[in-house]
Amino acid sequence: MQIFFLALACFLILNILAGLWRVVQGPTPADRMVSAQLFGTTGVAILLVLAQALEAPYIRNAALLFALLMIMAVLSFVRKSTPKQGQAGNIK
Amino acid sequence: MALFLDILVAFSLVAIAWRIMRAPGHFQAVVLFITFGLLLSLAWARLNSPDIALAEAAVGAGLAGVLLLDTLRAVAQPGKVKTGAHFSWLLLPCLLLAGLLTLSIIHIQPDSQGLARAVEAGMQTTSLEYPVTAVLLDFRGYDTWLELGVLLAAVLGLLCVRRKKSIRAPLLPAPAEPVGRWLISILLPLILLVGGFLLWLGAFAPGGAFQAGVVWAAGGVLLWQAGHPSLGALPVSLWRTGAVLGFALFWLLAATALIRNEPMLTHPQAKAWILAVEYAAALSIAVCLTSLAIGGQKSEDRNQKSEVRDQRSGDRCQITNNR
Repeated sequence: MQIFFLALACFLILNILAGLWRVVQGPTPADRMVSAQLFGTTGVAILLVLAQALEAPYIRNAALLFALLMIMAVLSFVRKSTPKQGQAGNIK
Repeated sequence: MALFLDILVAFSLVAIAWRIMRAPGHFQAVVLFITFGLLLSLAWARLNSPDIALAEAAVGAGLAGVLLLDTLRAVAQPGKVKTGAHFSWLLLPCLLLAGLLTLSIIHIQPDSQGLARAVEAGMQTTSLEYPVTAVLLDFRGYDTWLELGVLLAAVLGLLCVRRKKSIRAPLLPAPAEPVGRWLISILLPLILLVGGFLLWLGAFAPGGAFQAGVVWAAGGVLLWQAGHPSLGALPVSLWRTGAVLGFALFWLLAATALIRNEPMLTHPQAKAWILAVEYAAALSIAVCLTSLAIGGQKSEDRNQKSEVRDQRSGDRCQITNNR
């Protein structure tokens, strides 16, 4: 069972690595931001799986923190690119 | 399989770090840095250090992204950024440092326990059940005290650099943001709850003052980001008290030990006393980090002069309010 969880964690990390292509390619800041958010979701899943695989239940709290706080960067990003505060496009 | 996972995480960390340095735009580097924090937290979790994984998760997700994105706005400049080219002279020092670090790793015994045995032996003398918290608050209270002092000094330094007289002046909220207002009602109760949970957990499990303080600070930043007036409405004396409380309690501890003619920072072995210090430290960390995260903000659509003038009139209002 442990091997299954570890394999699952590896697969999810590979998912993040594949998603990095979108961050590198862009082309707009929104694309990059959204992929970072999806990494946050994947990261939560990896931490949960790891907690199970390593039998370290307190790792779940780290997953909880990511689930709770990943939105902060998006909020900052949205605030940043609201049109009334200057040009949205100049932050690439 | 575990080895494959380790190699994968290590490879991803190095690859992302490399890409951060070579990224053609600042924004891409910021997004990559957020991802880097995520993977770093994974690495700490894999290394069986849930305390550091928690701290990294809280700082990486809650504060670092916001700080970097806001900094990006402050320094935003059109055009491409030169990357890497003129830093080639750093290659030799970096290689040297890497060599030294590798050497020191080789010298660590594979079965080395580090200081774990010493801590285990000391656990009988403390009333805390969790070794990491015991080290932070009991065995090495000096370090924690000085760290709180560093945070406080950073806040004071920020006030000096920004030429603000009042600690509350930087807390005037950002422009109102409807999405943020909506988020507050969902997230803020959870943030307060999870912060309190981590603080409570610290007495006997991974968690503690720093992690809780960071989570609460993220809540403060959330309030500010959404343009909620509550932070600005707090009495400034309360804000100041919160910022110095942790440092002051440690100071009190040291002073009373002096009067009782004992070595500095030894304290009566009461769990209540240690927990009081920890809770105060969490509050101070939250207040200081919030001040640091949002105090450096420059309002965008005004120039410096009008900002100062606004701030002065703000101070005057504050004085009349205090009367």
